[in-house]
Amino acid sequence: MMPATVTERPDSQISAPAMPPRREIPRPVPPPTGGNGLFLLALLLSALAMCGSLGLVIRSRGAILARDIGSLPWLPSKEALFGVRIDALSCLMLLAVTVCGFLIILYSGAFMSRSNREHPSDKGQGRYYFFMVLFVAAMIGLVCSPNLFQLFIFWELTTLCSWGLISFYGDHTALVSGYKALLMTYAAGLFLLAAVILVYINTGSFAFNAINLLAPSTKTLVIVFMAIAAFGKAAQFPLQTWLPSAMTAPTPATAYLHAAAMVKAGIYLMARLVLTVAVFPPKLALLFSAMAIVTMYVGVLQYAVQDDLKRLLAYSTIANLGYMMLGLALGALGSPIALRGGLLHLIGHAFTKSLLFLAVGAVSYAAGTRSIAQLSGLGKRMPVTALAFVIGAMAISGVPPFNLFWSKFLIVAGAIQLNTGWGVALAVLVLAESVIGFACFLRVVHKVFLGPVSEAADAAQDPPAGMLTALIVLMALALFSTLFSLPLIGRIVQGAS
Amino acid sequence: MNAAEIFIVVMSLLGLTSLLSLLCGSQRILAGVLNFIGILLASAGMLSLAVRALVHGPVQFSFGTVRVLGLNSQLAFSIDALGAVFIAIITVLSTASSLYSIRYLTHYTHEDPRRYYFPFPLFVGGMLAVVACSDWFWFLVFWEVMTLASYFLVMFENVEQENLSAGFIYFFMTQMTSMGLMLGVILVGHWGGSTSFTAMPALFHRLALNSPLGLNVLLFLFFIAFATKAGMYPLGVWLPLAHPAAPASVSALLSGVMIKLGVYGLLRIFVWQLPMGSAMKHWGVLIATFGVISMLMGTLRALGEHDCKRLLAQHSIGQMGYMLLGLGLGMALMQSNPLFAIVALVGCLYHVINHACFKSLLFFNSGAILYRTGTRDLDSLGGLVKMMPVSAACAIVGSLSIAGTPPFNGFASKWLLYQSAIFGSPKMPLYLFYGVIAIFIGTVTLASFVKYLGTAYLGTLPDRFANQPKGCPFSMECVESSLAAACILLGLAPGAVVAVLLNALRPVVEAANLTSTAGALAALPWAGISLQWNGRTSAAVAPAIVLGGLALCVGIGYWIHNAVSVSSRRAEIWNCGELVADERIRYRASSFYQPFKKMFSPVYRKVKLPSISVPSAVIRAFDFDRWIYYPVSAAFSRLSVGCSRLHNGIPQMYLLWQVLGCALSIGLVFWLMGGVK
Repeated sequence: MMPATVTERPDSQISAPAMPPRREIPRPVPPPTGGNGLFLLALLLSALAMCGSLGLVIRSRGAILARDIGSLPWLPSKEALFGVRIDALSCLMLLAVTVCGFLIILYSGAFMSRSNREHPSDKGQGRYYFFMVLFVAAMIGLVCSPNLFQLFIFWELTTLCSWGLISFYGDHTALVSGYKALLMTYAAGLFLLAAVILVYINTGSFAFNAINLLAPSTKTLVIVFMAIAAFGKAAQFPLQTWLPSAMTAPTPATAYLHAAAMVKAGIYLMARLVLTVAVFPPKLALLFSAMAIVTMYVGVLQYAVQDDLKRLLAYSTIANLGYMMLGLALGALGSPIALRGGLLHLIGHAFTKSLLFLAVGAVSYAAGTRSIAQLSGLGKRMPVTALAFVIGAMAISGVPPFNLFWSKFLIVAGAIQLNTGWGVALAVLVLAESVIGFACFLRVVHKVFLGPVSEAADAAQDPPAGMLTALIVLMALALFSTLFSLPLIGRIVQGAS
Repeated sequence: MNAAEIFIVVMSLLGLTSLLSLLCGSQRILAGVLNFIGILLASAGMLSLAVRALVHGPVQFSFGTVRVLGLNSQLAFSIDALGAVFIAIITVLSTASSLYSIRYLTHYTHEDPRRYYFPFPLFVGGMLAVVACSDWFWFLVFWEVMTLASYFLVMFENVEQENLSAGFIYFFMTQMTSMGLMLGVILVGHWGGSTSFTAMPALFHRLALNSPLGLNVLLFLFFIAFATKAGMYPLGVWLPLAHPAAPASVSALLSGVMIKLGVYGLLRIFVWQLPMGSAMKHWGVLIATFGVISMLMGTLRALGEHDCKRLLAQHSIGQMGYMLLGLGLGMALMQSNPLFAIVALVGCLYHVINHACFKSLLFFNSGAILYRTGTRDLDSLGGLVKMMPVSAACAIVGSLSIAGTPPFNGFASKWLLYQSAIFGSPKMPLYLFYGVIAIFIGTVTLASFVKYLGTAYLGTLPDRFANQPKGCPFSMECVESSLAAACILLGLAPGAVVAVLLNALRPVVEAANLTSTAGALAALPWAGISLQWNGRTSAAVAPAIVLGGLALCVGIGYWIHNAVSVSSRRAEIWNCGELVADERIRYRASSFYQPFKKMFSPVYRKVKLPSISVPSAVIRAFDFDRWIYYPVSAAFSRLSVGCSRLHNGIPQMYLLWQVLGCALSIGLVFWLMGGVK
């Protein structure tokens, strides 16, 4: 149960209401950790997933690959209920999900150990790798779903995994945050269920393009419900509050959930909607674009008051998801350039935000704290990590030649392409938000990584090889990801029009 | 090899030089030498392209259309004569700076040299690509890459707070106006269908007819981006902070080359691409006005500085004012008096070249001072001519050049600017007023550099420097002397330079339908120039002839002196009774021009930049947890607690609930069945 009164304080200071004292439920003693073995198994599985996905992406070249698996006898439908369907959008998501998954699991091997100065423990690795690998599997299942039914099943599976990872450390704050995230995303998921049921009842099929067969009022209702689910999962306004609290998860898990995978599931759903629905109601698209820009500002205005590096990145994620939603909404309003921009931002942000989160993880690993006030001059002690964070900060602010510049350019160009006053207003607002975000990130870079070396930063050094490899690969991806994503996105938009 | 191949080789060479620097670790000299060789070779390649452009005509090549971005942006490059001039400036100064850095960087013992040598070639490559490209989208990309690389160079030393805030303000202000540039490029692509340079005149023409507001918005967006980079007051407040924060070799490049690219951008947009008309005239007056304001603010503020690099940076703002005045006059006079418009533009470009020479020379000087004495503060220096004679001589040349003293180069360009300001428009006394201010500021510049030379180089050497080694490393002195020689040469042969610049301005001249420019700036023998209009010579300058005459007189005087043998006795210079060189009682740099500072005190107020902070009410308003979610869940908790009171543990109550439930169910069944039959 959630406490009654709270302010924008870190969740650790949330006070419980007057209730009978909590009994400490004795935890079962965990079995001796075969940490290394588990890590290697998880690494192998995620590597297989990555290679498999890369192979599939290269083989399919954006065409549709589909295979049916089966149905349920008590749920008649026009097509098979379970199957695999990979099209260009799935390929894009697969790239983001599996590559980030592999790198993050590689990173976790060194992070979840006793040398971690922030959380020096290697207990519970079985639970951790179970949820992480299950999560990779759930995301792959989600993006390869042929119809809404299977999509919903994997959607709920990701909600479950997210709960497991957010509340991993088991202290009160983590449990509260995990529960909050579960409730909010699950409640939003119920709207998805309602939408899926509506589609099935009215058309007898779970296929994505069955939405086009609905009557206009039902179609609007279904789109609104799906949008609510997507907004909940992707932490958009007004359902954004679970994401900053979810920073209690271990940092690589946060990188995966909240940069690369889970929040992108919401964007994936919206992208499917925008690409499949033939006649998207323009008023809804306008509403979504307005909510996207509000989300962006809700995110960016909170940057300046944060002391925790991870919370800052959480708000940055909220704002960047707003960019993606804006691109998709503008695409629905009739601007293919903005649609490309939104999708390019999706994959670019996956790599860039993972880079930022992993850099912050390295900082907390080495220095034991994530507080901006206590850290200073880290660049002198951890040069590679500092470079990683600076590159991430430049990329996320849209500075060329990094990847998010291209997507921001496309989104603003798409807004102008609409030829309306609202489009111009959006363009100016997006550019203003970009400048504000850039200023805040630059300030944080100067405070934390440059300047005189503070006490907390003095003992820090660059993290071990596993973590460093992940950072270096992600730095390269932050620079080069546009090269391979743009052709794929061209295929996606071509296929839809 | 054709042009495209040379360009690719140059860029790859610069990239390779960057990567090689990572392998050098902390070997400063090795990294410096590798860097120098790479930049030298790349510069040679680009210079060959520039020479080809100057001699044969524009060099053009393209690498295909990036159609998938939906904007029809061509990765196209076109080096015309104007681009060639700028490429020459960039390549020569980058080579000089890289040669200088080899020994200069050994001064920074605590900093990792890779943080300098990695961004340095990328910075040079960015600048070259900016000048070479002919498509606004790619211009924007290379512009930002150049800014990013320069930020890392400015932040080379990043422990002191003032360096950090300098870098922050620099990057923030440039990025803010670059967002405006991005919007401008998008609007160009949207309204014109293509972002190529060649499509711009038609677009501007259409906008001038249909939508003057759109035209002015577009011009404004481009203007603020380039004006910020050029250091125009008030957007250039970053200049006096960032240039001192960077190492001297980088400051030389920033002040000597990078801010000129702002002028390059303004030239392209306003002179090359904007058709002649009222828009050009009005923006010309605006730019000229801001130029004069920059001149005044920059140079007057420099009078109050005693940190030598800040002094030079303020003078950069001031000298940019001259260039902007020239540009503005060129634009404003183009329709009414095209002859003097061309003179003004030639003056602007000539001043670009000159400023690149003498300002980088002066920054290299200040770097040499820092290298040998460890301080930049003019208040604590003196008599350095005994310690660094070569640098002192170069400093004198540089200071006299910037002050516009003949026969050095500053005089030639300022002479052209004064001519166009004073004679440009008899009907509009405004330009005459600007010309007078420009002359006045020339005097103020001389005053400021008299202070600089006097306090740093003349006077008595402080005791703590008595045992320092003499002179600077050879590479540093070599660079300074070459630039000083360039200053002298450019000043002695204005005719040659003006000929090159007139060639660069040929498209503008043709667009203005000028037939009589051939006679406007005629070359005199010995590379002098004369200004001719209305069929007669109105003014002429021929420094080589004058200097030749002076040299002849000096020679005669010396011969007379030697012909008559008179005994002479060397004596100590009378220094007004000051036998003890006590640093605390000497006349310091900050004491100069106190009356000036009192008279113009508003100019010397510190610029307070606003600090952004979000009001906490806004943060609380967006905290949905507090307004909605937690209250709702608390209410739900209270509801469940209330419902749980039903389980009060009394068996009779439970039986009563069962009876009630049965009754309710039976009643419901009867109602559904439609009553008892």
